[in-house]
Amino acid sequence: MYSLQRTLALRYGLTMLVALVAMALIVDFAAEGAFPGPHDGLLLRLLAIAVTGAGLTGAGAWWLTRASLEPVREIAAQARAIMPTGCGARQITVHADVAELQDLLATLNGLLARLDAALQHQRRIISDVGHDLRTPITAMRGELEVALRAGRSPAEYETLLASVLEEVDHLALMGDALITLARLESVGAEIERAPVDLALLVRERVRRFTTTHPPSAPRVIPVTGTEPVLATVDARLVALALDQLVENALRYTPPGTRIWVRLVPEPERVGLVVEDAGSGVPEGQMAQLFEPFFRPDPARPRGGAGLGLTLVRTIAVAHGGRATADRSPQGGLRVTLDLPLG
Amino acid sequence: MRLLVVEDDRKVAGFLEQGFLEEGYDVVIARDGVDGLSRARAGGFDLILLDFMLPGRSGLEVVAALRAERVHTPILMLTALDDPRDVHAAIQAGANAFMTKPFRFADLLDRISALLSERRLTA
Repeated sequence: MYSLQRTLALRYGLTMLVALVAMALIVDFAAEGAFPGPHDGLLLRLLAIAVTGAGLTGAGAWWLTRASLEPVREIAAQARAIMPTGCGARQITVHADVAELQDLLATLNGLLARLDAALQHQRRIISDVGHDLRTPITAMRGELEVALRAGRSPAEYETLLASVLEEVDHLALMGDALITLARLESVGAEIERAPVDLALLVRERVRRFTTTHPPSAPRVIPVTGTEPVLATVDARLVALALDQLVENALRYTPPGTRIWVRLVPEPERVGLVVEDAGSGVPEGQMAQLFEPFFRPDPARPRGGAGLGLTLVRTIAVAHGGRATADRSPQGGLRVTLDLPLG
Repeated sequence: MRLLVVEDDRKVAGFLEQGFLEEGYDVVIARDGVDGLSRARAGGFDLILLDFMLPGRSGLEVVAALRAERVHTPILMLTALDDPRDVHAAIQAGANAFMTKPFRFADLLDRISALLSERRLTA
């Protein structure tokens, strides 16, 4: 392996040796011209001085390079000591205030800070997943165990099975959402873009909601013109995002009210907007809405996987777009999925 | 024996209520921390079963408030979290015992019996 210290010491030493030998030869030649006569041992002495000088120069270069590289060794030792499972502040510092290393240090510390934030985020998600998995499992386990402690009527067993089935559906929903999120967030994940008429997609998805939900459920109204809105997107993912937005609005909107799904085309982009007339979300919680497992009101019953709006945001980002939330003029929540057309 | 169950999840509260009633306990359910605290303050319970994460006021806040007001009813905390710091904080605040979800209902009954026996002995 290439050693900077050894190479610099050798190069400085050899350069100095060549220079001093050349000087010795010049001096010997000049002495012969200026002072004719015998010069016993002059060249030999000059060559001995040259070799000694070159050796000293090499040693000096070795020492200087070693001293210069000391902060780099310090950085390496501290970087080796950083454990991925450790917690607390992780910053690399060097004792010597070397101007040339400040940029490297700032870059390394920035990288460490970003890694630390990502690790904390991942830990919080794992903890939230654990919590949200344990609650339905506790409900299922408890309902089954209590039911088995005594004989029950067929109607009671039917109620029990329906309840367990509901929890299984909830867990399956969470599993699907987690897999989709993991796939979209993995390095190099690619989406399957193709030209799609978003107006048609919106009408088709909304029709599905109006046929599968009871008449008492909030009415979902598509607000799209007759003109097609063409965009090059992954139709399956955009449909999934739209489903999540509408299901979320249905969950938090009172029966008998309305949910609007509209497209807002612009020259380069298109906004897919879902707004409701529900109770809305406090302004201070808008930014947290897209975080995994965030629920503005924990007292509300479990229903979704707690990952719906996180999926929406991830799908938007995968398309080079973004997802935003604000208060709807109808009083409820308005979520916009902003996508580039191409 | 009268139990106060403070649990926000409808289904968990439901099976606990049914199971305790069938075991001969008298059960009162509170669905958030504020309601749980006011019912616990009113008294008349032999044991309080308290969820850790609650809307309104957290389980930890409820325990601390009750102990500060010298309410000495035994408190068994339930949690879906498994951070040892939570256990430590709950015990520091004055909880008597701690169980992690999911749990066996039979084990929960055993813990409740043990806490009620301890209470009888110290009374």
